[in-house]
Amino acid sequence: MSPRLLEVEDLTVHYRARRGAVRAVEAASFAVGEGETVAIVGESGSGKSTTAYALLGLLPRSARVERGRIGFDGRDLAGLPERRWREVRGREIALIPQDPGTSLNPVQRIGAQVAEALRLSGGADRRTARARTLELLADAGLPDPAVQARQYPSQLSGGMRQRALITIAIAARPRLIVADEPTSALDVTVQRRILDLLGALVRESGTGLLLITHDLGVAAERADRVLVMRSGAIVEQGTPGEVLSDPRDPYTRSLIDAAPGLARTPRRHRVRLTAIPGDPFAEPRPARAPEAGAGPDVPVLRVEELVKEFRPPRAAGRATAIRAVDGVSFTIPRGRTYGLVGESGSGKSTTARLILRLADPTGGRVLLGEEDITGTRGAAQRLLRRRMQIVQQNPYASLDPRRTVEQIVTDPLASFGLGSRAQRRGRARELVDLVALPASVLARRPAELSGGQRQRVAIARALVLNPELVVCDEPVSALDVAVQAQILDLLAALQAELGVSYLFISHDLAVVRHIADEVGVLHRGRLVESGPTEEIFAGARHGHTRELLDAIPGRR
Amino acid sequence: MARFLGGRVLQGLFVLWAAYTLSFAVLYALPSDPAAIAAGANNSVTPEQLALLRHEMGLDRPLMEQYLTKLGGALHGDLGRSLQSGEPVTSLIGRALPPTLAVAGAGLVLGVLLGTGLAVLATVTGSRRLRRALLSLPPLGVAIPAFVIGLLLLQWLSFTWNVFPAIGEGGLRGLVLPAVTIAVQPAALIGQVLAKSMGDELGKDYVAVARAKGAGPLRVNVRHVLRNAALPALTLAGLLVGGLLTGAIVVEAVFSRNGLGQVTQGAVAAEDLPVVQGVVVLGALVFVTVNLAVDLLYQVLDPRLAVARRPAGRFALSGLAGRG
Repeated sequence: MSPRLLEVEDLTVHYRARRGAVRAVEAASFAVGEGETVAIVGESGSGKSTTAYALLGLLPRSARVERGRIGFDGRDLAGLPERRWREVRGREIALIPQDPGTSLNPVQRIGAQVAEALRLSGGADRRTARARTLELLADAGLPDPAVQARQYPSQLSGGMRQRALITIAIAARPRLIVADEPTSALDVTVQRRILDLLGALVRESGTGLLLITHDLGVAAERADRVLVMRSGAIVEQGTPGEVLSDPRDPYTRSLIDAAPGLARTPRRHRVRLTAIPGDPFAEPRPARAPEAGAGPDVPVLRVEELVKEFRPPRAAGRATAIRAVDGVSFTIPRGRTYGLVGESGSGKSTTARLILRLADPTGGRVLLGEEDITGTRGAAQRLLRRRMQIVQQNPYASLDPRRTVEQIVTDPLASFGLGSRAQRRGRARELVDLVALPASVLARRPAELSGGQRQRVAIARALVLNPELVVCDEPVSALDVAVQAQILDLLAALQAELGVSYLFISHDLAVVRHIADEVGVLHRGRLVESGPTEEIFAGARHGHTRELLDAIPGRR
Repeated sequence: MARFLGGRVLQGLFVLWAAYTLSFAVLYALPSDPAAIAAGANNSVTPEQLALLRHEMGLDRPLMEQYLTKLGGALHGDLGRSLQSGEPVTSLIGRALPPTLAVAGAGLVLGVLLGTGLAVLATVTGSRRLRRALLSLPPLGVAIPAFVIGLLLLQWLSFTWNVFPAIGEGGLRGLVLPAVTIAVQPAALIGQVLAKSMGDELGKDYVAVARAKGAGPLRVNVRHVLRNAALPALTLAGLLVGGLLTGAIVVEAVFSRNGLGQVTQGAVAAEDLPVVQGVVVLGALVFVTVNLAVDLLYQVLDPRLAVARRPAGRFALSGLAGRG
């Protein structure tokens, strides 16, 4: 056993709330040794982030350490005054935050932000800071440190920003690094590279690493020991092997099932056709009714040789256009799901926008049923919205915070003037029930709902018109894994019940595997591989697909 | 950058032309006779003399022709002559401008400093009571009209204690009370907006990272938060400049100072149209210039705005890629 660097005993943190204290962390005890990586796994609200921030003395004003001891190198940090904390932070315990998109100061150059960490911790003075900054940026794997040091965060990709944040964390050679969900905002392939980097840095320097994550797959792959946290308490501790093969707590079991890369069998579903697309209040008729467009043999969507070019602004002096989508073709059979996979920037969201007629393609055709919708405008284009709907990535941004759930769900009906007020209300109740939310949410506003509940509302809104096709653009990547699994199950159940077709867009092959019948892999605007889901998983031919497969945590 | 600047300058020229044309249309639609005003209150002017004067001033020609002639003159820096004194409008305004600029400029600088100070102090302080007290000041500052503040300052500091002169120029010492009077509203508005956006910024993730580096509260607030929070306040400051000119009129009346306010007041009362028009065009010029400066400052304060204009940056920021 390596010497104990951090020994947390009986840590209890409460939040002051209007209705009395809320217990965030309850009697948590654990230890991290020198050079050891310990992972805390749990869903949001389990107290794992509160634990992390307590170790840095960065709890919000409303939080208080009620009890317990944070033993670090023989001292007790609990109850340290703010002035003393400043000597610990950065120098001895460093933070790698969750979201590289918002964790760097947007108006300061990367180099200055790293140099600040060096200067504050006494790791360098005014003269040596610059050279040391470049060294550290190179250690963190940034390709061209001298360039990146002079850039602003908005000029770097998510992965490069996280490397910059890692540089800031290691600047002062801390003895413990607390990494709070360091990769959950990143693509899976980038996630793997970042975790590799962290692992290497920790091994070389003998730094202890406390890895906070909601993904048991990540924890099992990267940590020496795994702690499972639930409702503020640690319910399980052990090596990854022990926790995975012999979980003692039923909650751990459910986390194992929820991790997309760890579950053994993908979920399966069936197809049934109902109702008239685009109008929930029309009399249900057999599927060959003329309004339905076509029989079940005609695919719901065909995309042929789709091309989208973005022309750089004239002032740029560069004549060549950027091809975001480059000759993409695929077909979605009625009642089925097509998964479109790729890293950010691969053109998957642009493809979705072209299909939804939110952008005009440079070339190619989009057919909805038998109708060519590529050039539709005005009223005809508006009518398409009754047949195609979208579920967006971020349920925190896609719902109007000032409207009630009922108003949100019935909004599409109201904008097409469908049904009476009473009918719409009835339809809202039906949909909310369909997405497994209690009827009481109808009167509430988005702020009162959790992320998973909000995404259910967004799904209800997308389905209220009874569309033929729903485009799901990364619908679960802003959610915890446990919630992800629930939403995926819900989407599959809704498809079985309603016969709706999905275009499912994701950067994560593991997620797509659970929902898609067919998968297409996009790489730099081109569809490099396409086929039935299990075939892709059994034997990927293209190198990029294999890279995406290898990136799934827990598969190695 | 040159392209951006050229575009903004063209836009500014358009605003100036529009201000000139609109003021021409409105002022000359008024039922007053410039020739009669130019002849003065002297009732002995015969109708024949008045007609002759009208002809000399070009008032008998078609309106469009008058407009084009005057616009041509304005392009060469000739805004016509005052109907009352016969002095060229440009030299009249040129003479009245420096004292007004001194008061308005001092007021703006003081307002920005006070507002920023208030916001920073309210954010940095650990005392909840002090923060509440500071943040209750802005609504008060906006609610009290400038002339009331001016009169109160006069009453205490000039008449009762005799610290500052009550009337007239008196150099720098005479500038203090008018500048303070004019600064109160901008300070209140800037303080309010800046404190709010600093509060919003404090909750952002990069602040946690800065604190995790070991930075203290002053460093976090001044080095990290203030610059990020400055944009809304800067926009506001640009808009407030228009209000400062209006404020100057009131303040010059209260403190009996010479300046643009006095000139404007006199010109409006006497229906001296060329002077009024000159003041309108000057207001537009100041507004355009200040907002151009604000736009340029944005780019200095927030590199993302400068980056967005470059092609690579624009593509990355287009939002198509989402959060992934």
